[in-house]
Amino acid sequence: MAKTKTIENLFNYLAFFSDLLPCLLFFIFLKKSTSIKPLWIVTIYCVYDFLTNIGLLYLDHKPSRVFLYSSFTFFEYAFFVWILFLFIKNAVFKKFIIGSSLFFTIFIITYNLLVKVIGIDSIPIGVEAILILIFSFYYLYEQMKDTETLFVYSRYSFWIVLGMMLYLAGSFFIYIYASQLDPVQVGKYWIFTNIFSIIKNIFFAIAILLHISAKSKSEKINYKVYSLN
Amino acid sequence: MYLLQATKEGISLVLFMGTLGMLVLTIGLIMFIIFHQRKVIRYQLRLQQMEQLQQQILLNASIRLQEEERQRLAADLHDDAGPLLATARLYLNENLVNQDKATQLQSIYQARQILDDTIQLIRNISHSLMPPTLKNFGLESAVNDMFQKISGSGQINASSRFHEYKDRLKPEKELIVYRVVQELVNNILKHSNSSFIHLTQNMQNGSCLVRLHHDGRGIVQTDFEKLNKSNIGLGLKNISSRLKVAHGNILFEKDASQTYYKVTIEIPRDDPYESLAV
Repeated sequence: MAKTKTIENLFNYLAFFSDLLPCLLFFIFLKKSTSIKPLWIVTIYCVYDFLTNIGLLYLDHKPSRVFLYSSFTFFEYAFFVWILFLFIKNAVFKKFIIGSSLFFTIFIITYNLLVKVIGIDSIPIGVEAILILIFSFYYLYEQMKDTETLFVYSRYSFWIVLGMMLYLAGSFFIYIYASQLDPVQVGKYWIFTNIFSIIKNIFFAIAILLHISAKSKSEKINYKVYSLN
Repeated sequence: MYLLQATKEGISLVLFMGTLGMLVLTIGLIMFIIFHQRKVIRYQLRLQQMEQLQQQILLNASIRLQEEERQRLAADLHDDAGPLLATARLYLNENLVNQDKATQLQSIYQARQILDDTIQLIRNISHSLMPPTLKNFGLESAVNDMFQKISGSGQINASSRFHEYKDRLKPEKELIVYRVVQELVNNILKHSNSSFIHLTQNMQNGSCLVRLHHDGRGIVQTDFEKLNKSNIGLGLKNISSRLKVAHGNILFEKDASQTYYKVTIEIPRDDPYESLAV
């Protein structure tokens, strides 16, 4: 039992600090990644995630915790949808994303006003996950059609979307059932969420590294071209 | 419904299975996309390789044809013009040795005759390289001239008719069409055993269409493509490479009545890439 608890705690800490990994990489290679908007958004999201986790760790006031959860659901959706909006090229689908986001905003405000949330806002999280997964699937479909890209995994955007998808798909059912379970049980299953959160942050870090290495390569090629001239 | 009605004891299983299912679905989809993309890229690479091979075959064919043409020219000059000029030289030499006036006149006359023949021979060689009718009067006259000569031989009935050729194609395109028609007619004469050849010209959607009909043995598009990819059929490869330069197309088919063979050459009047060139 104690061993299980230790493992759970280990994953808790790993998930907590893994948010810093993409941020650290981003700031170390700031010069090379500063011009890329999605990387900025990923970094800001990770900082926001980290700060929310700190808040949840130290806040005992229940309404404040509920507010923190609800606002996190909304902002997480906003960050993810913004990233996908930048990646997706189809103008019609972009309009669909705007429409869906308006619907989600109205829905989350109405839900928080009408429903008395006790713990985690499971329903808005479920809707958020479904919408982001739909947008991510469309992004992958667009990439599949795009023959300009030699390999989809050579793009940093693929790793960001992959991280988001795995995190949302993996923690979908836990968030859905979180409001129906008592805190002890939620704590028992929270290890899954922690694992997927770690995976998500690792993939975000890979995306940053991939972009940096691609940029370094292109700079080298440019240098060679200039030196030839 | 089961998912919604699950009891607390069952939730553990539902959670585990649901999470696993979602993960399998997501990972499966991502894997499918990666493998599909790889498959598409592999297919495109194969297409590219095939195209390169085709280009190589066409290039080889054009080089071989050029060499054959040079050999023919060399043979014509060496075997016909060379001996004629040598004979003329002999007659003129005779003039230097023989002081008799009558004999001198006779040899000068002979030399002049030979030089006239040589001039005619060189003119013929020059005309075979670039028909003067094509250069001076255009494709319509050159093709009509060619068909009249064929018909005049009495072996085959050949006729041509240009319906919409008021605005001539560019000279380089005219030359390409003429050479392609020449090659096709040669093939028909050599292989088809037909009793007539008929050529018509029309305009369609800004393209010049030249159509050849004959009633002998012929080929259809699949045969043409096969021959184009094989090592034989030098003339057909030459047709392909010429048409490629003019951004034209060619279609070999059998008439709806299955009696005649039809070859259609399509040449765009305006070059599609011309506007892009700076």
